[in-house]
Amino acid sequence: MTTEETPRESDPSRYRLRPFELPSEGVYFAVAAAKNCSPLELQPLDVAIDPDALDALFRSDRGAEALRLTFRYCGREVVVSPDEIRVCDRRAAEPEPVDD
Amino acid sequence: MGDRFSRGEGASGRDLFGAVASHRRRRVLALLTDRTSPVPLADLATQLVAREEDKELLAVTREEQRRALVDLAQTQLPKLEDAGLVARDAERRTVAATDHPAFRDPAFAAAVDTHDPSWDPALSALANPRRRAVLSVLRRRREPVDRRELAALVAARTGDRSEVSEGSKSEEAEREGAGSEETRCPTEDERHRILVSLHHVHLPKLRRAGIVEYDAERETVAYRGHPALTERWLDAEPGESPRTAPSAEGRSDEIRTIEGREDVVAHGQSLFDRADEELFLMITTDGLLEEECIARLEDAVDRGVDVYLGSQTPEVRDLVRERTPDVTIWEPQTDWLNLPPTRERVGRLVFVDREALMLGTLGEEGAAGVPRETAIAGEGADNAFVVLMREMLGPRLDHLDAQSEDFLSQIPL
Repeated sequence: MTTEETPRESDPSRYRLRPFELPSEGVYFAVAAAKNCSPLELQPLDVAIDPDALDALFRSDRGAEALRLTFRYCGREVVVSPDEIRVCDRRAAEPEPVDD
Repeated sequence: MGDRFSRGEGASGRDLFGAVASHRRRRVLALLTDRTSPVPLADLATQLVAREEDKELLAVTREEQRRALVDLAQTQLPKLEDAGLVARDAERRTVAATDHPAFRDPAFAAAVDTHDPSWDPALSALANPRRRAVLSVLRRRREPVDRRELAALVAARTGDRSEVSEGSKSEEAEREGAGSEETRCPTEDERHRILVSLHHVHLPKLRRAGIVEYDAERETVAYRGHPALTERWLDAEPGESPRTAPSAEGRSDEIRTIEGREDVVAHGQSLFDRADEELFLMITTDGLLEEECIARLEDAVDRGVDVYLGSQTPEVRDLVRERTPDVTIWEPQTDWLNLPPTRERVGRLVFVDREALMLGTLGEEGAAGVPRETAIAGEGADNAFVVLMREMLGPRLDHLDAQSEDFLSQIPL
């Protein structure tokens, strides 16, 4: 599906969504992993984005394969795609290239 | 044409709450349910603008109408159609409300008639089975609950009631469903995942809707409630949403058997919630009257329902009299409580608006000295069981008013 990018120096931590995992779940587990803390120590994801809306956006029956969503949460840049979550520790967020 | 308007049943698992979580869509539904024939889209758009802007139909401009039409076609009607609440006729460019059973649920109808935008977040909050489970648990608690305990309780419900696998099409259920089928007893990991989802998603959502207070520092959650909430919806099986309600299954001559105290209590309480006019109860021992029942009686009285409670046990009468003074209390004068002559005896009887009925009987005591409880239930004005009981109780019910008059006059108030 997506072409794997060659790892760069600031390679973001990646979190693959499990088959029945919601994107919203993936986000807080991914960010907790990136920050090396418990997801319960993070402020609620709800402050950054409406989790229901996020999940609805990525519902598989709506042709969301090419969808990438970027937002900031807990000081990180989070990029959600249908099968993985990327967490980047970047201040300035350049728009993520859509390459497929 | 006929079947196009009768697809309610099939669509019942869809996300009804999400569909009505927009004041604009509720208004559309209210406009459509007022009509007996399909409405041309153009007319609907004009009426919608007129209602929203509170002006005459003639004062609606072409531009306003056009905008509304586009929004209806692109956004609102597809949502309502997905939920099985409306059906469009693309050729004729008309739309009509379906005969979805939810429309016969008074609470659903009331929600549809409430165009206050502040209800949107509450209804949207309900659109998720886990949040309904959270509210169902919290509703029973008067004190703030530790979020960890809440998660465990929600997990337990999820475990033994297949909370998310009921074929619901709500997004969470859709994804979680397949995995949770055989795991009835929640694992530590499941409890943790639920706790984390409560913290990040569900509790903030419920807090925004004004339904709960969530103190992330203290890690506690407290219930506040909302007029949009009907108990029955909270306890509904996830896929069913408002469908479980009254006439949905109540059609016809079906008489159901309900086994086990918990299910008997749950069904009894759901009956309490749907009373519109009259709620007639008989309860034999105070052990059967739970805190939750009393709260629901209070709710019923607040809704203007005439509540009658009969009990031969003074404790029951005193308890109810103290807590809900507006309930008419009476003492059954005959021994007809003990209908069956054998060991089985009547534990409780719930009769709602004289058209839905549950008769619970207590069997032998099981473990922990709690009697085994079973009930039979029937619904619908022409349901055989209901008809029978109405015939038997009818004269007594009417007579009750007279009795209660002087009964009440004897009580110093």
